[in-house]
Amino acid sequence: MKARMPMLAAVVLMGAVWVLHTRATQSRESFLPVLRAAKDHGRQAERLAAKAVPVSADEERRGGEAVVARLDGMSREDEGLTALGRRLERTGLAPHFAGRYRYRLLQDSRPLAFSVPGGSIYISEGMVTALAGQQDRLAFVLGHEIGHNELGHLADRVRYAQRFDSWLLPGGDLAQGLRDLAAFSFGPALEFEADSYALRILTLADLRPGAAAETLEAIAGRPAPDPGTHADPADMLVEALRENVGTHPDLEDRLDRIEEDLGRAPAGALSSAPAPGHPVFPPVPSPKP
Amino acid sequence: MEERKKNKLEELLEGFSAAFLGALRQGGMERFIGEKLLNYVGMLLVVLSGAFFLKYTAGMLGPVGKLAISLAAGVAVVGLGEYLGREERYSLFRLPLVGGGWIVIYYTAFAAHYVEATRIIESPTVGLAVLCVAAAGMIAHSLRIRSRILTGFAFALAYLAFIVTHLGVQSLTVCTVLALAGAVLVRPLASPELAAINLAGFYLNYFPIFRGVLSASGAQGLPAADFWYSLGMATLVHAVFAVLVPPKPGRAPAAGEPPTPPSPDDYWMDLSLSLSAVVYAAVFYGQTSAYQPLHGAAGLLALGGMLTALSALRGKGDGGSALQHVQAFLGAAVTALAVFQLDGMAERYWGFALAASVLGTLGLWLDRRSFERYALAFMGLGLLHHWGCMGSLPAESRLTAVLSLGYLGAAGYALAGLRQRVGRAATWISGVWLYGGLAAILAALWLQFQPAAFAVSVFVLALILEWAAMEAGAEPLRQQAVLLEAAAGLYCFCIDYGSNLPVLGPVTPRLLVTASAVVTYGAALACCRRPEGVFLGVAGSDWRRSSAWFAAGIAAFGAYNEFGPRLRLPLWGLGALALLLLGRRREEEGLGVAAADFRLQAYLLVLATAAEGVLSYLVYPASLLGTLGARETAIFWCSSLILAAPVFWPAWAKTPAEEAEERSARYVFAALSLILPALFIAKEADGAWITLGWTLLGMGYLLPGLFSGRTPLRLPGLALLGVCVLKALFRDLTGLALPHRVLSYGVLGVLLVLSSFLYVRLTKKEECHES
Repeated sequence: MKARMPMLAAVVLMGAVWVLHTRATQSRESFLPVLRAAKDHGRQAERLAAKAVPVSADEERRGGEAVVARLDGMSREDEGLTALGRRLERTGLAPHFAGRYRYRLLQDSRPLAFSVPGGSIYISEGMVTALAGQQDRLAFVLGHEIGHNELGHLADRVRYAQRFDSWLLPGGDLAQGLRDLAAFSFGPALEFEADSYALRILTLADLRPGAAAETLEAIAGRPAPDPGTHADPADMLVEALRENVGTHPDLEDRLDRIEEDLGRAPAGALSSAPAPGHPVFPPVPSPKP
Repeated sequence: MEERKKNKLEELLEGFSAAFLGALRQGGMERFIGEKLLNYVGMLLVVLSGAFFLKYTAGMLGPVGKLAISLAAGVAVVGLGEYLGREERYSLFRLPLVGGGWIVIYYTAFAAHYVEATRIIESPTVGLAVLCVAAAGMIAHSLRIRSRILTGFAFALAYLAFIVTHLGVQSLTVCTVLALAGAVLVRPLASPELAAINLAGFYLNYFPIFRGVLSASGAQGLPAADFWYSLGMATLVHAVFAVLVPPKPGRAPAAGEPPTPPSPDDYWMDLSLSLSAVVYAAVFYGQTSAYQPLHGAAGLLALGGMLTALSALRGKGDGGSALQHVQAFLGAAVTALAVFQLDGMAERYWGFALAASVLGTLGLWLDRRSFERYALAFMGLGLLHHWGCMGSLPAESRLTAVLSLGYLGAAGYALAGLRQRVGRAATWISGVWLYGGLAAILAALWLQFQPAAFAVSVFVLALILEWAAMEAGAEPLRQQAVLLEAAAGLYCFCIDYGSNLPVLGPVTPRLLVTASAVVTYGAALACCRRPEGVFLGVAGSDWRRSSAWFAAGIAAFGAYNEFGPRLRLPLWGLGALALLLLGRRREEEGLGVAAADFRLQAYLLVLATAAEGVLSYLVYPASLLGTLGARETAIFWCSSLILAAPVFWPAWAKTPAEEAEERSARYVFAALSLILPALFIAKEADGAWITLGWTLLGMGYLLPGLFSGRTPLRLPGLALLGVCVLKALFRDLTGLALPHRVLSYGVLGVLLVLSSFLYVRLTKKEECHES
């Protein structure tokens, strides 16, 4: 029996190969799983630092005051956005600036959306156009930005920026630029967290979580590119390096994460069962041959 | 120091120069000049004088007259030579006179059509026929008088005449007949120079046709029938010479006897034939390349096959003539060129695979290392070709490429196996077949499957190799298996599973790959022998032990990515428990080989679980964790209870060091079984409820520890209660109003005193039992 065990195991695993080949969604070669596992722990260290040296809501607001002052001149209050934002806040998932979030429409034709420390969220007219004004898609974008606030991403940036202030930096544009960079640059890990947060807030707000993928594809202006199943080691290295310096993950990665969150989530796992008539997610396409 | 073994070409050139210089030395320079050189130069001058005579009389006679005089003169000289040759003392003059006479006759035949002043034949074909008659006459005469020199001279003169009077394929046909006749005569006349003369003469006559094909209008200007006809003639000549002329392999020397060295004649012929083979291959390649590419590739394949077959006809073994090696090399090189010229990628894949397998089989059957080396070269070319075009392989060619690579891999293993069977396994060639075959199979799998399926297929391959190694007792296969297991293990860390949606019930691709890895490593550890000795600088036992580390690493990494922070902890904890259980084995073989590694992994995993509990679970945003369900709560608490099991296990240690380790393991696992629910309470509850929960938890460990007399349970419970007290004092109660604070402090104080009383009572009872 012992002598035959390897062959028996091989036969069983051949079945696994067949299942993976015929049914599994696309996988690819990448150093990112290892890299992101390491970065996750870096993120945890940041959270510990946030517990040890918390930044209050007022400190956050003060951190973003200067930027808000400049941006308010290029934007205006929008009732529709504000109403949608308040609807999301009522889910209870936005306690940090509950009732104090500001939703502004930026006069810019590019599809932009960002949040400034202190609860100010800016969506550009170009973004609204790109999303065809659809409520659940806009809700995903707002939820994503609220997520950056609620998950402490902006507070962390304020803490870093304060660190720059205390160091011996010359004044002027360079120092301001570094502060802005520290204030606004996120990494892919934080973007994934904000996407997950947005899915949850959409579900609780009785909106369609499936709008997440549509939103990302609409913003990118194209369907997600096929990354190819096999990669050169050199390409994998370049991808890993890009991950370290990039602010946003690849579109395909974000869609995969969203699909994973929703496709495997049993009913209720996202804090609320979706409302009748709103499927959790469109059917998963069959794997490519 | 051992003398370097000479290769075939060096042997050939050395033998050839020795034969030539030897002949010269034997005769002596003076004798050569006196007997031969003076004679032939003198006769040449006589012939020239005859030609000038004809020119002188040109103005006096008509064409017929001139030719008649010339012919008569030639016949007279030949006759004189024959007459003098009967006498022994004048025999020296026979050959020069006969040769000179025939030159005159040749010139007469040539002048009958090709010289304006003496033209009596208008048709070029008739003119050529007259030349053929003259050539045939001279050759026949030389054969009758059995003169090797004259025969060679006759052939050379004939070729020279045909070159000068070239009529395209008609001349080529005549030259082909002449060459074939020469091939037939080489051995019977023991005249190696005849081979060189005929081959050189044939190719010189072939050159105008070859030049015509290569010129701009060549391929289009030359009729297709003539193109193939001329190529066919060249092939026929080469094939006949290659079959008839080389010496047959002699009897193999008996044991202890030195091998018979080749004769000087053999060196002549070998060199001539080898050079001719090179020229023939160059002509064939040049001509077919100028023609349509597909025909060119097909033609080259035919040429390669023919040259290889001609080489193979020389019989078994690598000894023998240089021609055999030259043809083998040319055959392989031309076949490689042909495959590269094939239009489609799929055709090229199969071309390399089939060439490698056929040459490898031939080489094994005929015991020809050269064939086997060329076969390996084809395998290498096939793999390089795959590497070069895999990025641009069209979808419709993918299956063909996969099948051809799979075939190549199977051929590699089959040939390595056959080599072992015939007792030739202990050479580098077998190793290259094995690893080349492995590379081809991996390339096929990689092309066919996406990464998740590919990883599992590599595990399947490793298991098959392990099984084959056990069945056949083949150590190289076992080494390949452990190498594959290590490579696949590393590969598992480099797979991004994308959306990772379930494929089989709740099982996702990541879980399936992880399970496959664990099954493979488990089977390898439990059932398979370790590699012998040292392989790639690592001891065989260490290779086998590495399976334990890969399995644990992949399982832990898989659990980390698959499950959220909540479920990850109990799974890691249970994994650590399973590893500890495995680490209690004592067998010398199987899983027992890695027992110490399992135990070490268990302790590391416990540390990692505790650290993850704080880093990934405690501080993780609650909004991202999702709703806590009954199932998750049950898994968490049940696994925490199970983690305390080592406290109750029977003793395993046999030495003091093991006892100390076992003691520590009990404390470590008991602590973990307490830490996990403590973290759960800290995460899911708030404020004073945390303190209350922790207190109950601490009591839940302390009291059973006290009653059962197990310190590993007591101490963690006590520690937790201590933390509760500190938290209550310095955090929970500080915000209370004074009356509430008094009550709370009082209740807490009473509880602590009671606990202390119980503790002392019960531990004293324990000490009494022990004493």
